[in-house]
Amino acid sequence: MPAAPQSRAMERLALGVCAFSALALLALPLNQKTAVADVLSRVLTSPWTRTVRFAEGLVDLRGENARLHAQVRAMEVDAAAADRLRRERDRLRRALGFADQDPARLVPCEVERLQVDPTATLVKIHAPEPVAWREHQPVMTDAGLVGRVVRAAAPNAAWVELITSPGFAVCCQVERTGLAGILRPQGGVFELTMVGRDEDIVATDLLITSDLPTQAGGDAEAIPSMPRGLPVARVSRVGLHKWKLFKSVTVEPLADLSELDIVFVVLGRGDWLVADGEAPAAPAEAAP
Amino acid sequence: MSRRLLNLLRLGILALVGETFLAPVLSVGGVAPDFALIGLVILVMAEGTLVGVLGGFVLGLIQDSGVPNLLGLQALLKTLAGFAVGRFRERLVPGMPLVEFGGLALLAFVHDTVRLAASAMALDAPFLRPLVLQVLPSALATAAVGVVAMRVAELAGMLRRSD
Repeated sequence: MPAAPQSRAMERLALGVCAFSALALLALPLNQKTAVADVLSRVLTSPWTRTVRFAEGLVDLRGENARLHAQVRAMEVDAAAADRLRRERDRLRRALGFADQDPARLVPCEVERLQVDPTATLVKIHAPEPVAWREHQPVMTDAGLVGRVVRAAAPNAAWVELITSPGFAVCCQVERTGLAGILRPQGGVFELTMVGRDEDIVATDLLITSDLPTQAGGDAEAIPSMPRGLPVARVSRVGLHKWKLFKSVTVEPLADLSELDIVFVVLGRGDWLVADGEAPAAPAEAAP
Repeated sequence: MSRRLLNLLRLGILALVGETFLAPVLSVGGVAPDFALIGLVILVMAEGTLVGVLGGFVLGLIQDSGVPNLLGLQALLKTLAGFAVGRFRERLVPGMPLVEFGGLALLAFVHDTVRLAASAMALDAPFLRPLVLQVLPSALATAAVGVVAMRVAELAGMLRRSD
């Protein structure tokens, strides 16, 4: 049975209001969009996401606990050995005047959604405790760099710009040779730009962050440098055209950006692997 | 509890549980049915255009909250989808799986193509490859699962044959 004219008018009115509201949201500038998305995620999605995570956590808890227990024991032994080497290295760096004043620290954070939409260039992360958020703080997984902080959403939450974002650029260097270049996303793939035609770079080379600041382009302000040494990507293809000054270098990010669960925010500057200060207490099993 | 509220609750749960738990299980090579769209279609078939438009807008906003750079896009597309299905519903003879399959596949394809085109323009992302490898198979998967979900909804007495 056809709808009454009054009902038709109501449907058209609802369509107009909803479509206009959606278009108004689309037209907002990015910083206001993230503010609105903040409110929406707090009201609409966070309760569901938290419940799902809690339920999933309960199901996996026992098995994961046993696995982590064994892993922690093994890592404690490794960490004690590594710590001895780090302290020795720190002593040498201090003796040479190279010691870092602000050693980096990793803060684990949960990504709000496990399944990251392929079109998303921003994700929201939650830390278990308040964090001193600063713009451009690097964010990584255990595999490699995934992005950088663009805006604090709360004392323990922030928005992270993913390396897939069109304006993203980070200065990297080839781990093997120290050769520097700028990594940028280019229409679905990643390229290392500014690599001269005579430079030594091959497929499978590992890219790590460089401590050089990155110029976003034109008269834009330089983006502060990242701590040196964070793994970023691996070179997948190197091309060279006769008439070009620079090589065409395609790279694959080390981190899987389609499924982000736990990420780490890197706090502090300097070589992020340097462990300055007192050594942590050695585990009982590892003590001599 | 009124029948309408009960239906809204059931369909909300279908969309959320489907997107969270079933879509990752049914996903093949990153292609999965769009449970939010299936939930929206059943909502419109059960409750009419007005509820479909409003439900589509809210459902789209929920999806948009995870993609702030394109905030509003899903809300717009789901609103239009709710309206379009509502208008189509009046001409639809229930219980014809092939027609339902074709309609759902077309709706999912148009919805995802517009979304992909908007992302491609806004983010300089590729268009043709994902259109063939993701949008098209996803539309077919959405249609296949959607037909089954509509039969289940019909058996559960959620779909009204007429206003």
